[in-house]
Amino acid sequence: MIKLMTAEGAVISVERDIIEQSGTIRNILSDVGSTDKPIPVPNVSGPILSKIIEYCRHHRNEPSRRQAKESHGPEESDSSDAVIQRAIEQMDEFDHQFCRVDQGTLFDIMLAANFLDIQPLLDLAGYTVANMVKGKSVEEIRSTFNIKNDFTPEEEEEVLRENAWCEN
Amino acid sequence: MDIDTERTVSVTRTLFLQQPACSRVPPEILLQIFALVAPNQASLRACILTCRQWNLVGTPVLWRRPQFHHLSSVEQFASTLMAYTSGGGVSHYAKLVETVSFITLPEVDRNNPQLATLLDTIINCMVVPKPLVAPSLGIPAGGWAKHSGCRNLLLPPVIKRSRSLSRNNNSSGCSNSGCDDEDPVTATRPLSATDLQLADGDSTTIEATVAVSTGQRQVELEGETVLERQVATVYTSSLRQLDLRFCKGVRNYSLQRLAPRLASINVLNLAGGLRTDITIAKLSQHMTDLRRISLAWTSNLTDFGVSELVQRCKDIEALDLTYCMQIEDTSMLAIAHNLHSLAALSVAYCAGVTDIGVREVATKFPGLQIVNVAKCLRVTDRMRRQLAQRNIVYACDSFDPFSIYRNKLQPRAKNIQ
Repeated sequence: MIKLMTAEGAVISVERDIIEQSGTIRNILSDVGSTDKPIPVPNVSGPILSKIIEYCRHHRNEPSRRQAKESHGPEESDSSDAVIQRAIEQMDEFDHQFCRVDQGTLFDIMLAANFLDIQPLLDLAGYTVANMVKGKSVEEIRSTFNIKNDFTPEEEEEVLRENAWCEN
Repeated sequence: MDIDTERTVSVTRTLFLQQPACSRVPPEILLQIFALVAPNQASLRACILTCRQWNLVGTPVLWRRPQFHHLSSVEQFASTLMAYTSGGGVSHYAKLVETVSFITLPEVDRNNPQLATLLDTIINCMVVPKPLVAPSLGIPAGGWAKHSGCRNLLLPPVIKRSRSLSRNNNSSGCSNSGCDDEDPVTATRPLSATDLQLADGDSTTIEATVAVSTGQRQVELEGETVLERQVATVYTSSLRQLDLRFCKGVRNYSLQRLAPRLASINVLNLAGGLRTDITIAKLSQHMTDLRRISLAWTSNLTDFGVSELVQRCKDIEALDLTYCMQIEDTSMLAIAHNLHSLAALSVAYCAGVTDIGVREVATKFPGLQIVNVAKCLRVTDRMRRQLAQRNIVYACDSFDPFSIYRNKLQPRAKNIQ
């Protein structure tokens, strides 16, 4: 069992093979060897860490997921929404349920997945956010993600003008 | 760590955690999300209008590959670039553009001659003259810098000028920077009258600049007209992909005139654009970095055009000649003889291509994955079997391998027949 210390200072125990889906933890363990001391994960809160362990537990016996992800970045496709669609089809029921959380939690999961280096989870959350953005207006996106409009009126007018070409 | 620092750290962390989650997301993750949103341009636009951070991260993604659905949006795009191109420099936005594609325009807009003007404006907002590379010619950098300095003064109206005008500009420009004495090029060529010497020095520079880029043009250039020498400045820009598929509105003449400004392109799609051998020859003189090109449905293209192309652009990896009905084995031999690293070739529907040409290409390139000979009437089944033995795909119904949006070729699984 591996002990992890959350942002609040609580200690959570988890099986080693489960948490080794995290590249960060894997590296720490291979550096320090087995340890009884809790490994601090200061960027991750307790509830989020539980969520992440839940995800890792579900995908416990899928070693292929640990491989480097197929790069969706440079290898872009002609067809517009196909990439997202395909990715969503590849998710299983658990993944769909897993992502049915409020946007704050979703971003927290992304932050934690980024810190812990769990690429499949980061992708999953990324696709979910991208899917949430689709077809929404500026105001709708702001309210969905709780984004504060920090443009000055002049700035806002300028960005509107500069990007007017892609309005339709 | 003393108590005060510890408290500061914990307070900072608490403050950080109190921010809305979306503003705590680091830019690299936002970037990943926006890359996923990017195909849906309207959504990405909405994202970058929400707040400063999203704007900062999303703008480069949006501008990297603009999609146009009406001619009016191309117009607006071009005028936005124009408005931000001030004082001869390239604007922040123009530097972001990597792909210019008109494939999402309706056909009537693609065939509109105005498209050529707009493309011209866009490209001209993007290009800057390439800095000269001194060491490759073994000439002291100082002299070149001065020289390119006086060249820069002449640049904006470079397209069509009489010789006398350019000479006047030259003498004023050069005497201002005082490079008469140190000019290494003119020093090697003693000339009589001072103004003549300057004018000649300038065109020599341009000539030499071209030599830097292609390494073999100097001789041919001697025979060309003064007008062409003036145009032959080397430009660079952020543009890497140009998709003019079925854009008959961009005429061959406009495209040829733009050729020097397209030097930075890696991927070019000219399928179905009624291009000619001359256009291809002119373009290939400048596009030394070309990796992927499609000339499909170019009924005027002959072996001459293909030979010119492969002689200049030796790094081509994917070449689409589907339905170029005049192509014969001469093209295949030129391809096999000149290219270094061909991975995919399509000569589907080219009735002039035979086993001889196909074998020549197939045996030359170890990395070859595709030789599409679908509906090539004079390629035998025996040849197809030989291709299959070499694990080369000989028929595919998809143009994906030749798509301009792929950075790398993917091995294809099986032959479709």
